[in-house]
Amino acid sequence: GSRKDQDYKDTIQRIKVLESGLGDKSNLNNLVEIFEIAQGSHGGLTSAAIHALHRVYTTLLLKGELRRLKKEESAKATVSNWLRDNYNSYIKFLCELLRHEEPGLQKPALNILITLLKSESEFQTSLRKKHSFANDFYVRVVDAVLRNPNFSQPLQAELLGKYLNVYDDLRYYFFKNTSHLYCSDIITSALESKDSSEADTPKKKKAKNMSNEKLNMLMQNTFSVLEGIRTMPTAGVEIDEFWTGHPDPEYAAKAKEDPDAFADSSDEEEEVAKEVAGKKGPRKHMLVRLSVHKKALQTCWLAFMKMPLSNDLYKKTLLIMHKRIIPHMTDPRLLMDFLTDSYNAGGATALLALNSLFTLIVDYNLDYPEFYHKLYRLLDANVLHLKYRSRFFRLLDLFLSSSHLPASLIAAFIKRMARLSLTAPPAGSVILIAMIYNLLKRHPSCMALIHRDEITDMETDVFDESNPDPYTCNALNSSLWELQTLAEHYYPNVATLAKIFTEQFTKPSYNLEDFLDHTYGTFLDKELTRKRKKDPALAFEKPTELFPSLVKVGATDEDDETANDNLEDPSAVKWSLWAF
Amino acid sequence: MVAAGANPTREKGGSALKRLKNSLKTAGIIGQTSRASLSKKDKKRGNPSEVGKHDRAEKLNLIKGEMNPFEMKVTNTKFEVLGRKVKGAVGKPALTKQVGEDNRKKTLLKEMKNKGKAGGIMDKRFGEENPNLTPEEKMLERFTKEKQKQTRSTSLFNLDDDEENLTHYGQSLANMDDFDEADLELSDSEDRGIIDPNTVSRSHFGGFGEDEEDMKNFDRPKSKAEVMREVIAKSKLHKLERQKEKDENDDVRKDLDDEFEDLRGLLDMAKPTARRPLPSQTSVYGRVEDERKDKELDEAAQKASAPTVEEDEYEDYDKFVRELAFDQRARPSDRTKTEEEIAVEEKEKLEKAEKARKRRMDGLDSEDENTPESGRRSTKGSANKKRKRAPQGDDLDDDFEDQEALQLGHGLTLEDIMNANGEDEDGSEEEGESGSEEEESEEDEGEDGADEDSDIADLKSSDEMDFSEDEMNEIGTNGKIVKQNGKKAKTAAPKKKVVPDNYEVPYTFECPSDHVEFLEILEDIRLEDTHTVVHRICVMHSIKVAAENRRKMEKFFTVIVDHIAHLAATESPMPVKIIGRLDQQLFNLAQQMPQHAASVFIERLTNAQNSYKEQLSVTSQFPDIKTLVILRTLGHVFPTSDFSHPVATPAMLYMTEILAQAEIRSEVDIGRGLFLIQLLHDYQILSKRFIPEVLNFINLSLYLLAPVTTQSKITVAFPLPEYARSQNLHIKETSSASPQPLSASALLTDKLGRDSIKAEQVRISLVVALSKVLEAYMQLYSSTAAFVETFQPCLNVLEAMKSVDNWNEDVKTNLNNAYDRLKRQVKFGTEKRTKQPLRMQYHRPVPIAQYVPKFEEGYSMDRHYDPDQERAQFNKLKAQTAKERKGAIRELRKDNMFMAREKLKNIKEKDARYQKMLTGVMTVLEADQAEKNELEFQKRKEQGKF
Repeated sequence: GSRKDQDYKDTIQRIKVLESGLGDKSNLNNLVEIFEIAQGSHGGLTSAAIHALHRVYTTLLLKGELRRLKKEESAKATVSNWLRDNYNSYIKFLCELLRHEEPGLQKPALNILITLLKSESEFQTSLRKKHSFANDFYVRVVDAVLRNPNFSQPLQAELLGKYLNVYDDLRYYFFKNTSHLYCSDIITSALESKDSSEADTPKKKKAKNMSNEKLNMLMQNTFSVLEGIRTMPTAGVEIDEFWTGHPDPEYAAKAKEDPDAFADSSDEEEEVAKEVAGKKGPRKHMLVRLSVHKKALQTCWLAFMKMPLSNDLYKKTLLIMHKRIIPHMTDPRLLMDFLTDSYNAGGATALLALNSLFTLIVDYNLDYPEFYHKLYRLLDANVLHLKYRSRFFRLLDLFLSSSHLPASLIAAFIKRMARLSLTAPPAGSVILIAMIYNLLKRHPSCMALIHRDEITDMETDVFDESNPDPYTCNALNSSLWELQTLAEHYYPNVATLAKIFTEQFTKPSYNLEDFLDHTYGTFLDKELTRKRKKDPALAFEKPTELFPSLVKVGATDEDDETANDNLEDPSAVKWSLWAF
Repeated sequence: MVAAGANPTREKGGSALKRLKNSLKTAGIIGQTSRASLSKKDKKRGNPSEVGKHDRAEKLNLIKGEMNPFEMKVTNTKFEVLGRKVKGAVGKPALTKQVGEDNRKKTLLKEMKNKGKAGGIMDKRFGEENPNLTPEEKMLERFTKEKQKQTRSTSLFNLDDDEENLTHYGQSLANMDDFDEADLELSDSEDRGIIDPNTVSRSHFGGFGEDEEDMKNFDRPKSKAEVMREVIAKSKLHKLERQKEKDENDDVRKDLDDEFEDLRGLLDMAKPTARRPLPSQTSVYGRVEDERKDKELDEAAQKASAPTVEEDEYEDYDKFVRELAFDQRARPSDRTKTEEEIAVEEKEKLEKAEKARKRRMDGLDSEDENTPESGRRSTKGSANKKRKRAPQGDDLDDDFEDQEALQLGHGLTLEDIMNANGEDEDGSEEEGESGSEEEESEEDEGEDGADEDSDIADLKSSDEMDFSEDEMNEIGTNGKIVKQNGKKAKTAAPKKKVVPDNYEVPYTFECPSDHVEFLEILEDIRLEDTHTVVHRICVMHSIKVAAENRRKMEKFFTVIVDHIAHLAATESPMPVKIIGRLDQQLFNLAQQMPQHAASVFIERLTNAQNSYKEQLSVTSQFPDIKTLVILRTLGHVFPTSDFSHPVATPAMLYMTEILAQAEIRSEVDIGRGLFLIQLLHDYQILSKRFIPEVLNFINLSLYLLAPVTTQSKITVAFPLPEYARSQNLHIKETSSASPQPLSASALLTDKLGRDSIKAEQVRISLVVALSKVLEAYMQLYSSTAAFVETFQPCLNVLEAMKSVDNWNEDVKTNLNNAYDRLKRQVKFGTEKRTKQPLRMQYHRPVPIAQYVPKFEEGYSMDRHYDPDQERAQFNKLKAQTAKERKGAIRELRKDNMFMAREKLKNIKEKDARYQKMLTGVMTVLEADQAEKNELEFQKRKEQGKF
């Protein structure tokens, strides 16, 4: 142990010596030696070495000694070319480190890369006398990050928290590079699919599987980063943090002097104003314009959505779409096809798409034919057992809140919901009851559903459950017997709530929010932690057997009849099904 | 003016003369003058009429002023409004002005004078500021204050202050000096207006001289000696009276005694029949009898050996009293109840409990006397009452019974004996059965268990008294009294035993405080005897024996719950009988500690829920056998038919949560789910509440088990989780195996590996079981309103399932049965429905709310009748502030005027002083000038200029 420690200390010392020796140009070979140390297996040493190299290369970079010179002959050119090669291999090594299993190395590698990006950009800016962003460098970083098989939580947090969520330029170029990456990837995958259709040799299949895996990983990584970006600007003035220096130094200075002048007007307005003024000043730099950022986000997301998303990613995307994507897009109508397809897919996907679709309909004038038909079809037995139940019912309440909807439609929805309550968990039943109450209250013409004086001579229920059209399923002529059954529900809260239908409808409406967020867990917690003031009631009949093969049934007349009807009493044989 | 003056006169009432008299009287100018005649109120207040008690002139002046009609100012009201009181219609402006002026002089003027000045002397003398006090009163108060100050400063133990130390009957003698009864016959409050004869004779009509001497005598304060004499005389009188009374009483008693002799003959005391002890008292009575005999013998011996003078006429009486004490009292009707009576009682009890349960099922509060626990309490109360029979006329002494209990002695109480017997007897019985007939048929065993346990139940549950009586009876009829618990039984037991290795369950155990300890106890004990051990521990540490046992038993309750779970999990095959007996024990114990039982089960439920939430078990999300068995016992201990129950409701929620959300991965999961469903059926057998999750689970399970081809035919009208389509639990060979009873050990416990289950067979058995349970639920919900809708999905599933061609014959019949039955029920339900349309809003029309005008009794214009309480209060406050504001402004204005007046007065005074000074000076100067002129004139004259 101690020898290893000693070795470690020695090597650290050695790195220091080598680094200090690099002040002199004659010792440039030290770079190679440090690089070799960095490539060793010891994490601590690698970290120390790459930091040392970073310091050295930064100074060299800023001095301009890393430029590849055209003239190959001169000794200076040879040296700088050699340096450039070494520098490139160093960068490559850093990108590889990003994929290292150890997050402790991933983080410093990322930090160094991004800092080098800054130095490169500054160098280029000084060279061209104009703001420039070393995107060719950044492309490599983005690529390395997104194709990372070991994309760890700390790395993601570092990337998002320190860079992408803070600096506008980094975020912009990230979007841009990602969408480029996907364009190329789509092409390759398309090619692959062509290949596989031509000949399905096992080898190729395997290769395809491999690439599929890679693709999945890439998408997973991309989503986790894109999902984490939460600081999209909503106004031009919010774009004020730049990693590689403000692209419009004069503008920035002006803005600093007179912040009020720019604070109020939005980006577009400003532009218009400027154009009207006859192009008084030069057009603002690209990076400062909000529309450019929005566009970048839009293309990036659209590129991402074109990929064959896994079910999980698809749902996650839909989940954040209406809040985090649509508001930042320049033209949300581009999502129409995506959303319509999702909505038509049915099930949980449709539920999730509903939110975004609603945003589009309301804010972007999307015309969706037969919206209620599809909404009606969404109400199937599974809807109450899904995780996104409350989300859906919040929206459903909104859609059905108009009092101008035809009674037949409302009746269909009510009847359908009542039917669903027969297979619903208690948490779902309370939502349905509250909603049915509100609907009945809002549409008194539907009261016939729960109260009918004349005897209908129809043999069976007129309501056609299998009819997908809410207008023609004839729900208005049916009755809600289901609610009576719900009043016998085993959970007292549901039963009590279901009894409101037999009383006067005095309450104006129930606040649906009070009912939406219950689950079995919350109900159980409430019941289990309830304070018991009185002694709990106890059974008074002494148990005879643990599993009585013949269960005594309360000797009411009805039971006797049924028992006579059927020679074999099912409850009697119940426990005899088991062999203990 | 006259008319105006007349108005207030009328109000005050009486003629002017009367009023004058009245005011003179109240002023104390005429009538009695003693201070004692003043009412307490007046004294306290320092009645203003007392002002200048001594200078009549002043008082008279005041009265004259009051009576002067010219000082009154009356404002005429234009209209008389009934019920309105006008304030300030009559006033005395001059007087009030004067009062205000005076007050200002006292306060404002002083302040004005002191303005801009610092320091001064504060007058803190008592009563200096109170104008209502006469100088005499002031002096008096000051004096008392001074005195109080002194006494306060002296300590309690100050011996110098001997004035206070002289007491008689705890009263200071100094006070006694003032004690003159004769003078104070009329109390302070009563004598108002009535003038005592003394005063009358002395002062009225000028008084008469000849009585002077008498009066002197009368009035003279009595001397100390005289007072003491009177006191002594009085006490002697009292003593005499008491003695006389006592003599009378004695006479009466003597008469009674004489007559009693006759009565005694009637009572037939001489030969008390040798009463056979009551069965329930045998042990007690026997001992008491023995002791008594011993005592009598002793006494007799004593008597014989040393006849003393003491044994005089009282000895006879003592003996008699003792006889009475031991005499048989009214014979209690201790006959055993006939079987019919017991049955009736039992039935009544059950009916009562059932009624309470039904009320709870409907979600109402069970009537107080009907709840089992309060019922228990009340029966207990009545038991106590029974024990202490109502006191009767010829009861000699109520303590007698207690005395008897005390006389039991030897540190044993009735209960001790009872318990010892119960345990003992049970033990021996136990021995007999468990020892001799090992291979007893199962049912017998069950019955036995029930029997003996019902005994225990009696011991535990409500009718403690009944039980004890019964027990006593048994012992009594046997004619034996078991004295110590262990020995006899122990000696008897081995004889009956057939078990070779002298196996024997010990009789006493420590009460284990946790499950590990209990397992240690059980180490040497056969599994079948577990409940015996539990029972003995329960008896030994019964709560009724000692209060501190409650905590022990509470711990033991937890231990039993643990042990039930432990047995179910570790023993294979599951010892259903034994667990059943432990279950019964649990039931009994829970009756004594409902709160604790609830908290134990709640804790178990919480644990189960947590382990489900955290997905602790890797293999299955369904609860393991431990939890299942605990849920089973929970359903026995608590009523599951209640509308809402603190334990049963969460238990059901937990079960349904599992059914709805736990993922079905294997046959084991379906088996456990099936178990839960059957439990829920048991839970709901009475209340028939609707559980959607059960039907969902049945449908889903059948769907999962269905052969691949059939599965696609099923119309899914029930919630289908995402995993369901990819789960592979299909029955592959439909005709291969016949259904068997489900193996609990394989399906419920995790012990057997998955391979040992013959998958096909189990799946087919599960299908049959599911269809049977479905039928049970069909029957349970047969009367629900939405029967058709509820079972429609099941109908679909069954239809598809039965359509499989090559089912095994058993399976086929089962599925067909279930299907046919469901079909019939659905048809029935539809028909019923067409006859009765849904009428949920069928209630009495509610009358429109009416607002009857409100009439106020004794309406007054001055009051405000605002129905809005808040607004009324606000208005009142507003009016008050307005009034106060006006008053304040007025006062301030008057203050200003007063100050201006005073300033002007000051200035005038100053001016006058200056003027005076100036004239003085001028006079002097003029005089000087005149003199000077005179002188000059003289000079000139002398010079002779003229």
